[in-house]
Amino acid sequence: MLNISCHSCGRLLTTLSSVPKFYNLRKIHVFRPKFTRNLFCGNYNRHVSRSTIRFMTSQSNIEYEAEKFSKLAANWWDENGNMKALHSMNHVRVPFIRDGLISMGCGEPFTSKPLHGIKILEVGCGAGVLCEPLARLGASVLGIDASDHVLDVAKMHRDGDTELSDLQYIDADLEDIVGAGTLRFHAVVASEVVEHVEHKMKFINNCCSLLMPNGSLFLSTINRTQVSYLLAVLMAEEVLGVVPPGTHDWDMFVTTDEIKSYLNQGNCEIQKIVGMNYNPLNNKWTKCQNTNVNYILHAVKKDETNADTL
Amino acid sequence: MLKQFKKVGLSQWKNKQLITITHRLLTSQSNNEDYDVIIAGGGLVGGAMACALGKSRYLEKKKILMLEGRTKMEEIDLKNPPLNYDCRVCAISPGNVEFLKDINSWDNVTRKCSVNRMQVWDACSDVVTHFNKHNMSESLCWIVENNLLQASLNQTIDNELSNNVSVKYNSTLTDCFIPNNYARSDTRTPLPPATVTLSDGTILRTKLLIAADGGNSFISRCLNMNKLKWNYDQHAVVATLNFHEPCDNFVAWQRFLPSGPIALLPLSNTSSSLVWSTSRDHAEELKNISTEDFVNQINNAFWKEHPRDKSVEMLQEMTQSCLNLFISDESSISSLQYPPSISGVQGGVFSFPLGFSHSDEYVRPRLAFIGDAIHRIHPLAGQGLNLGMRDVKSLLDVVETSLYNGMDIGSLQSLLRYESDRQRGNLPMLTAVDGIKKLYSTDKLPAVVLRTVGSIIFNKLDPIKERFMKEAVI
Repeated sequence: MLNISCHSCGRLLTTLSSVPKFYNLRKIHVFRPKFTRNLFCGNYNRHVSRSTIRFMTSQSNIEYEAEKFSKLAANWWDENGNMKALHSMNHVRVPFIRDGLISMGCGEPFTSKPLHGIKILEVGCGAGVLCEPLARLGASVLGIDASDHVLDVAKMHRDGDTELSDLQYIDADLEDIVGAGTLRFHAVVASEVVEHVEHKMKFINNCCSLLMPNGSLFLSTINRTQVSYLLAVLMAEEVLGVVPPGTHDWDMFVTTDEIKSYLNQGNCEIQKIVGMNYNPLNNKWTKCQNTNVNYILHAVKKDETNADTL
Repeated sequence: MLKQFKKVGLSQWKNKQLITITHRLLTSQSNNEDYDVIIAGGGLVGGAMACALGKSRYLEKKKILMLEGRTKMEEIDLKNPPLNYDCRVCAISPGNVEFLKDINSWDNVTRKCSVNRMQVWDACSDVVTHFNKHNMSESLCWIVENNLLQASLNQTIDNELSNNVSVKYNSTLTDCFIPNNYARSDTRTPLPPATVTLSDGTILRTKLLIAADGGNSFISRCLNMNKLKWNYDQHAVVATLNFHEPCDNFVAWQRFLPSGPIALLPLSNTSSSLVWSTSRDHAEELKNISTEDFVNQINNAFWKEHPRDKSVEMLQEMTQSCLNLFISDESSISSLQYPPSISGVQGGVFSFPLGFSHSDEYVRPRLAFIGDAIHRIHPLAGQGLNLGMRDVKSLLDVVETSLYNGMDIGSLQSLLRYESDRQRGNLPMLTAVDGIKKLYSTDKLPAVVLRTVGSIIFNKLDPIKERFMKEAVI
């Protein structure tokens, strides 16, 4: 089996059992106009020659995405505003992370501070919607985000609350934290971030490198399927207005297979993966078997020291 | 960028321990008036809420305060309760008994009586309904005096929960402030705490204010909350009665007279508690007449035959024979038994007005109502305190879940789940009891016919009866 990855962003493009003689592969993947690609193409991994080519470098992509979210900063904490789906997603995300960490032996179940003494890094924390519940559960949380406007909002929201003394926000990139060299965490959380990152393999590798052995990585993102285009992009943005139009780019979504391959390269193994179902009528998220649209997963970094002795 | 990060960010991150300790010291010294939960009202429902929250492991490090407007009640030695029974009693369903056991306030109450059977009958017809479980020794509910249950709850708070629960007596509220979630000017700041002002000028701040201050709730009036309410033109007359001779007393009796239901709730082999809902004038009369006349009136109310309409009797026989064609059930023929005859009164005779009320809103940001503050019900079904206890159970569950999920304890998102759950539980019971009260408060023919036929069908169809009992005993 031959894995063909894009030379620009590292995304897994296709897997071939054998390479035919005259098969000419262009090793940087490109985008077709959305309409034809998404509705009529069955195989999303195949790439062919085309007229329009779009390249995106990592820096400009981050700035573009950060600016998108900076505009929403002021109303981020309005639980009935643009971000209401993100707030209600906590109902699924926080128990998933809490129980996942407890199952790995980090934390005490059924106590008032179940995650006491656990160090968590949240990448792309936004205004702290997920950081605050984790800090209330006793964890030491560090939140980073590309947009400093949003981090200002996060700090303003944290400062009134006495329970959130163990919550820090830093205006830094993931590469800076990796570059510091010595920081390691019990858990890294990147919720609703991967679909906004261009170089996904590098991103996930960086996240994995910040984990302690047997540390946990929690990712929640959206799958790249026809159903997810219909529901997460068309319905959510245009029809129902659950999120502002332009929030999500369908081509940036990640399939479960792709993410599995990235995690394997980062030396992590998926412990649990569940789908999340959103009901726009009553703004509630529930867990489900089907990972075709939203999903959240818990991956654990393999303990290399033990592997050697075996 | 990296160097900058190392200077500023990394040092901040590594010094967080120092920041944490300083922050904690500052907050603990500067104000003693910040609480995590304040319960306004220290009655039966407020006291049960304080015990439940105090015992919960998720609230072990939280500060809970219970505010009670009256003075502290006199200490009652629960092992040797006073000889005279309190005339206010309550009926506690088995589900709520389990809850009281969980909060260590049930076994202290040494004097309580189990009701294993109930007989309910109508003055205007011959239909009799019996309620009992298949095993006659299982109880349907327990009758407990209000003051003993209150003393038990207070003792649990004083003896076991003094670490995190404190009580302030003689504290009446003069003002309260609840933040407004949706129209707040700046959503970037966290939701401000709720505040209450006491009559001595102290201002207390809290993350969650639980209003358990009864049917005439100050907080509800202060916030101009809408309630659906009306007064029944009835007062309930209560007293403790003695029997002529001791008997096995495990039956509760209730007879629906056109002026209102009269009920006898067992207290011991020699006494029962009376709850007679009747018109205001009749209630005044009952309080002022001699003991002998009072006892005669009670005995007549239970034993005396009322004028019957022939058509009702005929209809009754017809319905019974009709149903017998479809369902042959020997136990359906209920025989009317009479309660033991009363000989005298222990202590005084008191009365209180009756009414119906149901609040539109149960919760607001940082505020939740429990007990009579949101619902007032007629005592004919003995559900008043039971509904309040179920509110306590539901709110405890919601608070514990939101704490274990890291949410703000007073956020509207989590409190709305309590409101949906309890509205689903309270509304059917409130509507049903109000409907029954209105149906039985007249002796006009159509109403009598309706309730006679209805009761006969209800008696015959065991599944309906079981379902009804199941609802009442959770």
